[in-house]
Amino acid sequence: MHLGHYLGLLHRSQTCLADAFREVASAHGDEPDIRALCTRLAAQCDAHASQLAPFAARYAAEAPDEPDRLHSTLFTGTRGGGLGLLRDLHDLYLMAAECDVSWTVVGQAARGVRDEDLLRVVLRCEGETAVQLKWLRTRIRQAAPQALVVA
Amino acid sequence: MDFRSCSGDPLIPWSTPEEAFEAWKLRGAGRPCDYTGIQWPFGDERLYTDGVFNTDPDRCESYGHDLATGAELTKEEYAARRPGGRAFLHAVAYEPSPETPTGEYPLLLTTGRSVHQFHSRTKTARAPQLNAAAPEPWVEVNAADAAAAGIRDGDLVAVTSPRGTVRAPARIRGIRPGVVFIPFHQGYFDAPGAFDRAANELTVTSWDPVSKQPLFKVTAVRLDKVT
Repeated sequence: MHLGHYLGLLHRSQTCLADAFREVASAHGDEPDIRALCTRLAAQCDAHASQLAPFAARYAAEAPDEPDRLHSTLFTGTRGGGLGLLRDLHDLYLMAAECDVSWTVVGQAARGVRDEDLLRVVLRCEGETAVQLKWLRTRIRQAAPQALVVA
Repeated sequence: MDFRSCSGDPLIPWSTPEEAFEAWKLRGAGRPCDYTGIQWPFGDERLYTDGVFNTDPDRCESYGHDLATGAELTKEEYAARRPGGRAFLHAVAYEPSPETPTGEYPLLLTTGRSVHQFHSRTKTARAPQLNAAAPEPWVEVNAADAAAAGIRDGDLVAVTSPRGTVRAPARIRGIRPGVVFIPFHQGYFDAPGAFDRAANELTVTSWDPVSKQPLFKVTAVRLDKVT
């Protein structure tokens, strides 16, 4: 059963997203809403990861060796300035999308193995990830004209 | 200055409060926020009596937001709720304020207005009667909090947040225990260098994600008597 691998993938994706939110909060601290919201969403991602951890540990025992190329790197650090902010938010969007689709995958598997506890975690967290995507798109829409046309 | 419209009529056709009010009402006529039902000097108790809200997807001003982040909802998501003139009541999970009282900053500062001044006084500071009625800020404090800091009515006190300090006389009033108030009108455009009278120097630079209202009501501060 490979569910353990996907739980590990999602756990790592949430941890990476939390770190990236924190880095963006710090790098673009002169945008007060970015600092406040990215810090809050980082904590939300940490909470997702800690709720996943016991399931990842339990299903890891039933998983064969980890397949090649399971993980991919979507974030390699922040950039400066207005265009940099746009690109950083764009990175966060792709990372949140990675988590979003992983919740769908894990949710389907949780239904398959009738793991009600895991399914409850998925249903609770996937809605928060969906709101993160919506906020990132909203903030990207706001940043794009200034960064691409005016600056 | 005798400004005229293209047709030669006076650009500003009103001269009395009632005429100004009537002109203002017409600005919103037929728009979602329609005030034409208001009568001078007072009107009906209720403006909108049919119970139909401006929530139709083709008429509403926005499709709404996630209250915690300000994320915009799409027209499709909004229309799927079938608004049809109904109102929505939105709830959001409790979030503590960005700044809450601590051991070092045990009180909560809320800033606000005095009746005689408007915002940063760029207008009201030029009206001598208004400016003289409230020329300087003050620190409103509860009797128990004042006693704990050895402060009497009229004493010069310092209110310090992680971002700065304001010095002003204390007014001991019936404000809630644990909370101090300073009006935010006074800055330093007409008092060069007087950075310690601007309440806006103490507050966080942050705002509500949907309304964009600045967070002027939730600053953690320390209160000291100036000796």
